[in-house]
Amino acid sequence: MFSNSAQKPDLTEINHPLIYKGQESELPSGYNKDCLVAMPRDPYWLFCYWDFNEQTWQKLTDYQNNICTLRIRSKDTELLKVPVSLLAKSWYVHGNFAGLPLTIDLGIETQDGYLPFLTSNIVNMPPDSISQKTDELWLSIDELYLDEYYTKIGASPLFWQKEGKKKAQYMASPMPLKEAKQKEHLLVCDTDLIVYGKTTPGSVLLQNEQTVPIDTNGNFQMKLKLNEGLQNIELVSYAKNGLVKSKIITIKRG
Amino acid sequence: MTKGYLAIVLHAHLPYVRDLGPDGALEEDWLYEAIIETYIPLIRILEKLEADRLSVRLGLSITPPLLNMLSDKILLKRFLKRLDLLIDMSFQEVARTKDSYPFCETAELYQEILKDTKKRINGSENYVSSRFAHFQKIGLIEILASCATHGYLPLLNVVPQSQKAQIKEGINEYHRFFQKDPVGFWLPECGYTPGVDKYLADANIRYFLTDTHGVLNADTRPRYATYAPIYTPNAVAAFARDFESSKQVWSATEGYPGDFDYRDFYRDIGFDLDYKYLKPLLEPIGIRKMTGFKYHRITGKSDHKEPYNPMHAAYKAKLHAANFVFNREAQVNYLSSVMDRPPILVAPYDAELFGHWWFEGPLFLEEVLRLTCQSPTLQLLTPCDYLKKHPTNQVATPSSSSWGYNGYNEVWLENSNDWIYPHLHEASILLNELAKRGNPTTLKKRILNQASRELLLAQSSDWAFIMKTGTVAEYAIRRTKEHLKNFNDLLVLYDTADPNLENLERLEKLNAIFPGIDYRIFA
Repeated sequence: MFSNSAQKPDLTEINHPLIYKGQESELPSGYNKDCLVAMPRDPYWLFCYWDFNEQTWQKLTDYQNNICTLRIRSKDTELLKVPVSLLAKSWYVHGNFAGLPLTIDLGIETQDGYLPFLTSNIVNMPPDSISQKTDELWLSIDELYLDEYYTKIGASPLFWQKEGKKKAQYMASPMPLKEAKQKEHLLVCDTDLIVYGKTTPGSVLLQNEQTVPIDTNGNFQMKLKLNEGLQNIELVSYAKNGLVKSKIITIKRG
Repeated sequence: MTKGYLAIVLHAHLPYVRDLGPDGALEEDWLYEAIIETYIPLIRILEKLEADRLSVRLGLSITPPLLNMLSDKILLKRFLKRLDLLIDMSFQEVARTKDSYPFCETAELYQEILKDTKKRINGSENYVSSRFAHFQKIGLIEILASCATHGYLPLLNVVPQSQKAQIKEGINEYHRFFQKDPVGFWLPECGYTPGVDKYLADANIRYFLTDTHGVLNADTRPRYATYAPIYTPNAVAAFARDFESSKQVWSATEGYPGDFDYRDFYRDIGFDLDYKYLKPLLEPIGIRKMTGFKYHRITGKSDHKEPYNPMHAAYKAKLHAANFVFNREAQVNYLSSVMDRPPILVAPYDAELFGHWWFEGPLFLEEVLRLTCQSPTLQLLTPCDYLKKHPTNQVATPSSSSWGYNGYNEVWLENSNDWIYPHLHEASILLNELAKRGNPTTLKKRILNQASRELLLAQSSDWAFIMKTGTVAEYAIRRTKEHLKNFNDLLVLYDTADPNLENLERLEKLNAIFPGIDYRIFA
């Protein structure tokens, strides 16, 4: 009844106007402009592409014997350098970039140091884990607003601009939960952990691979969830000059 | 007593594959198959639920390329022609299988489906979207807006005006088709990156969906994990995909659609039967292809396939639906015991999974909706309904994320497709500069409007996705290059003192999507 013997066709062997044969018009190989664009692929891979205008290409011929590198930095801290071929015009860079704001320079290694030619846009690499930050902020949106919004069929966006678009109100934690109030008797207790310290100003500080903001004097403070049992808090500071220091604090919650 | 909520959201999308040649494009079959196998079965379910007066709530996003194709007269005419051929074949199939059980039952089922489809579509322009608009009006579904051409927003943020244009034109199209403001917005591929919410807020959107880790890895730890939404700093709610309900349906190894009793998608008479018998269905090219007549069940992991039995499969779909609802009830029973508000389980799926890829999917879905309506603990709602009940939510910025392989941008940014971005970004920069300039002549506006259509079409995430999967990669490469070349040609025309309009007129007919577009969306 069913043979199942027919092979699926190889479209490349068939001539028909509806079957595309790969004769599409080619796009320009470049747009004669200097550019270096960075794009995140995932928390660990960064993609970039670059191009130069004619003058820059000309200038670069003076350095054809030098090593060309991509320099990856987070703010002012260099994270790594990757040698590349300028002609490749695009590159994937691997690193432990989760949660970091990154900038790429494309430049030449010279006897006098690194000579950057192009600097990219800043990309915020996605985090790869749950945030340690637990400072909660809550927002209430007027119920009536949603009701009106939902039922007002055909209302023009101008109507909402006129009415004031965001009928919303920010609240600081703790949040006033209606559901919590409805319970007869309630006692909820919890505690958080404050970690503070100081590092060299301008460094990049990571706590369990998440960046920790530091002020201009190098001071930092963060609030962490205090979990049951043993908890290791690892802090790693990357200084601008390439030095790295780390500290581990162990806490036990009974 | 309701202990928690279930929000099912279906995402219906196909890329714009309309062609003006006398026989259309081969890829138009994607649309025809989806109408027969997914969109009309979904309409049938909703009609039954409406008749039974069940308080169902379902989210549905329908993208502008799909809405445009569903209302296109040329495509409608070609679809009816295709449908006639399929109905003719169904008569032959009923005759051919009449003495062999259970093939005869499957053949009759196909004939019934095809005849019903013809009856519904025949003479009715815009049938599918007008039916969905009806179901929205009576409160069975809530339709979400989406990007103009399914642009993948995390990789368009090098020129954020492109993100804005994708969102704005998507919402303009929603107004055109549904005559109301959208409340929810489907981010293509659940692709979110911080900043997108600003454009959504500017367009009065109240919520969008992300993958699980989009909310879970937000910059502040979400108190309720993925079981409550968070508000972004721009006051738009982000609802996260529930991992467990997703896995039960999507997982290649454990998911329901892979059950051995379900119909096999790949075994099709287009590859099994005599060529002469099939010839009318294989026109105009004459190559063997899928016809939709499939008579075997998945059976197992080998090529050996047993006959498909529709009754057995329908029974299995009901069992799976009961299992799905049981598991959701168990989830909310547990979660409600540790949360001080009812948890919400958000279950987004590609609409085309139900019916097209998973033939029994619509049966499963209908049963899930019915059982949830009867559940004492679980309540169906849409994300908007949830926000009305729970307007107070935590504020945090979701993490960049998508529901693609590995959860980030890898599918749309890898060796096969990364070459498209320098061109897409350059075109966006050029159009943004032109859009910011003063008032051009009517003709120049017309040229820029068409250039906007071409750029939006080039930005469809489908092309990068197809290049990655490699199935019809050449088509995707051609489409990307064609739209970018059309864009470049139009910009040359824009700078020409006395332009020849032949090419502009040709492109306006060929890529006739977004009739009301205004290029200043790129400003």
